[in-house]
Amino acid sequence: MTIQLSENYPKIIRDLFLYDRSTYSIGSYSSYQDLMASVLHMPVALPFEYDRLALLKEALTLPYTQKVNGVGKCVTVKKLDDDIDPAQDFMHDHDAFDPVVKFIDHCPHIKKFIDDANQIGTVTYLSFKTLAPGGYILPHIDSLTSTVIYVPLLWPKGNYFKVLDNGLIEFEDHQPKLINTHHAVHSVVNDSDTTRIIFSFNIDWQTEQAKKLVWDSYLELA
Amino acid sequence: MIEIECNYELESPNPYEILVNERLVGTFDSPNGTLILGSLDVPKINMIEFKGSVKINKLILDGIDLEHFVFHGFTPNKSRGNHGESVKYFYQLPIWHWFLKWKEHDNSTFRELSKNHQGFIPL
Repeated sequence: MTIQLSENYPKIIRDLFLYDRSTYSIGSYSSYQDLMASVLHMPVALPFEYDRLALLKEALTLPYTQKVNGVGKCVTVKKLDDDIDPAQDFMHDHDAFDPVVKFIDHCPHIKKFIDDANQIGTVTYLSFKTLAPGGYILPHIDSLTSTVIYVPLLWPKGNYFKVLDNGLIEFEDHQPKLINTHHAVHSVVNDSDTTRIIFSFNIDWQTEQAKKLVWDSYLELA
Repeated sequence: MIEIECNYELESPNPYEILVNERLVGTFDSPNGTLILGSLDVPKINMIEFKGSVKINKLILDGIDLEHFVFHGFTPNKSRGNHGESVKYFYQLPIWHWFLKWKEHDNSTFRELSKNHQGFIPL
């Protein structure tokens, strides 16, 4: 699929969306390790229910730090309380995880989501992100982060998540996706007239429950 | 041969030369400029060279700002950088794809580990 964006976006983004006609097909994997080492993105079926619109309502009340190009960010779970927007470490000593949770005392649905996700594996990072109309994130690769799950709360038509040489990630269905953002360059634009809201989180991927979540989700695709 | 636009900003106390694929484009003395470069199509690798006592601060090829790639020029002392008696940059067409692939490799986990001196991993 090719997307023609207006001159308001930097040329590197316009060229990527216009000329990269690639698509992505999930490969064939024999094990969890094999899959996690190679997969770029795939839908995941979380083993608990959540109310997307209730999460959205609470997400709108969070204190966002406004960054460049229309991006807003609010980190609600992080490893250490030492930074507004902490970089994630190379290595995770998962036995020592005692993440800091902030800003969500008044958000029962978000708290419940985190509690439920903690049953899969300790949530070590969770942040909400807004993207204003006309906003964009330049192509980049998250080389120092591990696999994350993105949960779209409001993904208006005209929003795109593009992965270099690997097509678009579909979010209009508002379903969670596991993405290895450190495997490929990606870029996001909001070419709609409504702010886009999503959150992403990182868990301890070494638990049996985490492995089951990913592997079961993969088998469902077959 | 495909033509692409090149914009640059540099510092140079003296006039400097610009060569593309080893052919002289001209001699200049302005701290910035816009050129049309005749570039070889894929899969050929192109080279733009700034000759003189130059320090390149910005390089925009085909309308795409190459950001910190400007510090990855080849200099006569066999290291990478953006200043020297000669600074050479290698690129391929299309610029958007070549630059994003370069970015992908420059930010790979292996590369980041090496950059941060946390491991000895050959590039």
